[in-house]
Amino acid sequence: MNLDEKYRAWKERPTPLNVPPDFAGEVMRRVHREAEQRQAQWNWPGVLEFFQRNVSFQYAALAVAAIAGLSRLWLIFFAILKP
Amino acid sequence: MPEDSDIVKRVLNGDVDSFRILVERYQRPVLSMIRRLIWDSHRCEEIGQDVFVTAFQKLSTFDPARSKFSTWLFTIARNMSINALKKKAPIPVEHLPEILDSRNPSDEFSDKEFFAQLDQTLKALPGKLRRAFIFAEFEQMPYEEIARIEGAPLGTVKSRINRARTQIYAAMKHMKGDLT
Repeated sequence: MNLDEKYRAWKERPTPLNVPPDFAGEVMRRVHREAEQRQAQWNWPGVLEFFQRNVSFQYAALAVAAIAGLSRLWLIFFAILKP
Repeated sequence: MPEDSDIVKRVLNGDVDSFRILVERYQRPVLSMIRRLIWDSHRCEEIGQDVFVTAFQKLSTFDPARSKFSTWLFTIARNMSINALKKKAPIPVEHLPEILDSRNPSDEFSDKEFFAQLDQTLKALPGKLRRAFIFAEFEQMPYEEIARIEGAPLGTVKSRINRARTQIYAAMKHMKGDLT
C-alpha cells in the first residue's frame, strides 16, 4: 500500500462504538428530573414580568406598601406624643 | 419524520417526552464525536449524557434562524469535550481506541502499528487543528458547519484542516522508512 492508501485506510477504519442500550432512557430520566426541579423553583423573571404587566397588581402592591409605611408613621407618632 | 425545530418547539411548550426523539436521533453522532475528541470510551457515555441534559437546559437559547439544531448540539458536545480534556490527565496508550482491521493478516501488524502511530500524531496536534481535522475527516462535516461549531472564520478552518493534513502526511513519510 502506498501512503495515500494507508492514510485512507486509517481514516476509514471502522472504530467500534456501542451506544449503551438504555442511553436515551437514562438521559430522559435526568431530563425529567431537571424539568420537575425547574417547575418547583421560583421563576423570578416570570414573577417580574407578571408584575410589570399586571397594573391592578401594581396598585395593590402600592397600597400594601403605603399602609405598611403609614402604620410605621403611626407608631413613631404615638411614640413621640404618647397620647 | 418531524423536523428538529418542530420537536424543539414541542419540548419548549412543555412536551418533555418529545426530547427523546432528539436524543435517539443524535446519540450516535454525538457519542462518536466525543469519543474521537477525548479518546476515552469510558467517559464518553457520561459526557454524552451531560451534553443532552445541557442541551435540554439551554433549549430556549437555541435559535433556528442562526444554526441547525445539530450544529448547536455539536457545539455543546465540542465545548464539553474540551472541558473534559482540560480536567483529565494524559491517557495511557493501552486506553486508545481499539482498531478493527479487516485486511490481510500478513499486513496486520505493520498496519496496526502504523495506525497507532498516526493516532499518536493526531493526538499530539494542537487542539484547534486536531478538532478541525476530526470534524472534517472522521465526522465528514461540511467546512461551513465546522466553522460555526468552532466559532472561527471559514478560511481559518480550512487552513487548520490543511495544516493538520500536512503534519499527518509528514509524520507518515517519516514513519514509512521504519515500517516498510
